[in-house]
Amino acid sequence: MSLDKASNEVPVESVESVESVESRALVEVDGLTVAFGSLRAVDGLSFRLAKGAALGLVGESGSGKSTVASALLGLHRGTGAEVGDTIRVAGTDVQQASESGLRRLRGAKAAMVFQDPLSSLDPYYAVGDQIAEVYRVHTRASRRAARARAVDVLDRVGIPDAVRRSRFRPHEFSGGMRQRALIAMALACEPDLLIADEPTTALDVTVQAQILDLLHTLRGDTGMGLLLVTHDVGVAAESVDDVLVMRHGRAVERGPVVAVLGAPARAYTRALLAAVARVDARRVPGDAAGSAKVVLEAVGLRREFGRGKRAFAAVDDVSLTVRRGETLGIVGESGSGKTTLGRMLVGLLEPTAGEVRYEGRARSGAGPAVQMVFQDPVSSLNPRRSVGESIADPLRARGESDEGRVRGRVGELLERVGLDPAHFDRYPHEFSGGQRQRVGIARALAAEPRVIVCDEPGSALDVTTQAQVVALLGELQRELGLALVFVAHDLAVVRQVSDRVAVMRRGRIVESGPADEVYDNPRDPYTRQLLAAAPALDPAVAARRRVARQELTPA
Amino acid sequence: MALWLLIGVGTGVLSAWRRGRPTERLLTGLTLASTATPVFVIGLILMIVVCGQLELLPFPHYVPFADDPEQWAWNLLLPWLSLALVESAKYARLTRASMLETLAEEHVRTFRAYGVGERSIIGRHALRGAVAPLIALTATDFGSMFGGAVLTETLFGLPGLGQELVEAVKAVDLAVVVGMVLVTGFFVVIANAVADVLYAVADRRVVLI
Repeated sequence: MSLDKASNEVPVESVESVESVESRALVEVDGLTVAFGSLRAVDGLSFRLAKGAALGLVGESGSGKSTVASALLGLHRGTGAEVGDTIRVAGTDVQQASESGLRRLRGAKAAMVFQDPLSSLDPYYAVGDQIAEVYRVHTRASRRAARARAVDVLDRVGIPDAVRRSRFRPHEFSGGMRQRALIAMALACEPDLLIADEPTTALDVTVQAQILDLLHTLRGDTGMGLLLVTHDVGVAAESVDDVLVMRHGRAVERGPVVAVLGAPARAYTRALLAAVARVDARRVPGDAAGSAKVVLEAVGLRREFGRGKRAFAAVDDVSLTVRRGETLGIVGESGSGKTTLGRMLVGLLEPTAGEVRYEGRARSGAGPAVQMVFQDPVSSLNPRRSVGESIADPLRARGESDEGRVRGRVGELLERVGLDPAHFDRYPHEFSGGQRQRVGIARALAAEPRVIVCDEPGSALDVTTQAQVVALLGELQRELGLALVFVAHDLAVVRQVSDRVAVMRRGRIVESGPADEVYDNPRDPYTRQLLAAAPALDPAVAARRRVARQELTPA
Repeated sequence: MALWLLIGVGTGVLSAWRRGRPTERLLTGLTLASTATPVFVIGLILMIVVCGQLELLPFPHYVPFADDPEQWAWNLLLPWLSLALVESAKYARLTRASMLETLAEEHVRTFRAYGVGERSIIGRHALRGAVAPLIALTATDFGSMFGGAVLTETLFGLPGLGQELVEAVKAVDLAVVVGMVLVTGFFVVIANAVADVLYAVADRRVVLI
């Protein structure tokens, strides 16, 4: 196949030749337009998906990819969205079908796996009962049979001890198990098409790899078609045959995954690919000499939560040093204690044992010298105060009372992080996620810190925005000689920014050292497992890693 | 009590279901009117219409339960109804609000996407989310109910705790007033404790310590 199919009018032929696709296509979308008022979320999109094929819809947030996914199941009915032109899924015309016709399609022939597995399951009912309910809607099975079927599919997606677990409620499951449960729900009626909307975005790398492997295996076993919606090109490379890159509701580029990701024809695709942090890319060495003065030091830090029998140590005997102008990356999965460690370094949490030293002196409580940039730029800014006021807080806390000087300094800071100083009086909701994170950085800078602890600063953002935020942090570090502690679960991003890396697991540091050394020659088995789980952009590499993972994963 | 829960929750479910349609507007108007109307007005209207105009029931006079259970129930029907009408409005609004909140949540979208019918989404999933706040409201009302419904009892001339309290206050009979306050307080506390336990049953994420 050649690559010139990028125009909107030419539908992609998945694996079949044009003639046979007509009769066998699982999904046919022709000139799909979805409009919310004057906003066209999807604008004249066409694509086809043959039976058993896998297509990835890739794009940044706001590109309309999730809207397409919902439109396939007719979920836009009654929401005020105008949907134009034809959508046929598994022989059902979604536009023309009656409510009951649509219900027969949903779940039975085409099933959807949602992004956030916690909020996508009803918190009040047992997981098995929810799956059984869906099964009973589409079959005439008895309660007992449906319940048995639920246990069956839970077992199928690799949930151990499925009989007992099926009686658990969603909050008793881990993130990965919840996502498996959602996939199990999707499998219950053996659909022809599985629509997965960002199925792994809320998960850790190792769990993400497990889920993608599971989807891969299931596709091989059941022969169902897969439509994968994701902002992560790496995830798409792992799992699909064809990709369609979307931007502003239109198709930018499409074709087999090897061709599009290997030799992108469009500038936008290239930009998207360039923004993806690669685990195997070495960092351009910074000028931070290894002999620079130690600014921040942690000695034998330990922090327990809970009391009595429920007590557990989130951080257990962690010691580390941060030197002037260098970046220390801390990687780990959720629950490894990395956020707790970050908070103790800043002084937001008191350690149960051990101490934090700043320039050689033990300190407790937060101070201007060590600041923090938080993970979620939405909830870490007060929605009822203008961003200027938020940034001015640290200045005022230090006793600056001259309004003019405060405004001037905030303006400088806004400019420094790439925002317009005139945005002083705007409120957080008027900014995009990336801009809000910049505001968070400006607020941290206002205190003129020597060290900034960044807790997952990019994980709530999509790839291109994340790359910009990370680049901004690097720039600030070089100009201001800041020391950064970069806490993240994404190995690739950490490698991009860090001079030294510490890998955390269950509250302890299992491995640490210069970034290249840890990534190229991981000594600890856990580090190796993490690295194997990182998605690869090259489908061939992805396939090799998949095999490697199966060997590494403990049974 | 059971009567007002039934009326209240029923109205709430119906108005959440028919959101934006005339049915909901009508129900919202009615609940608004009945919260705004004091119980003695509703009671009087009920008495005038049902007993005076339609002559469906005799004007209520209290018959002790032990003497004649049937007459006892018939005579208490009107006081119950007037209380229920006023109180149920609160429940209707609460039910409607929490159901609409649940309906906007993502797990409801999941079940829609799996072809589950609207009836079972409303009945099973959305209503379930409204249970916890309903328990809380019921508990406080239940407690205070034992302390007597002063206005209703006075209006219908029933020898209940509420009327006893009014008499005691009039006569400056402090011992009785103190006793009444204690009894009411006791029931409020008990009802709330029961509610807390029920809370954990209704929502398994709540852990009792």
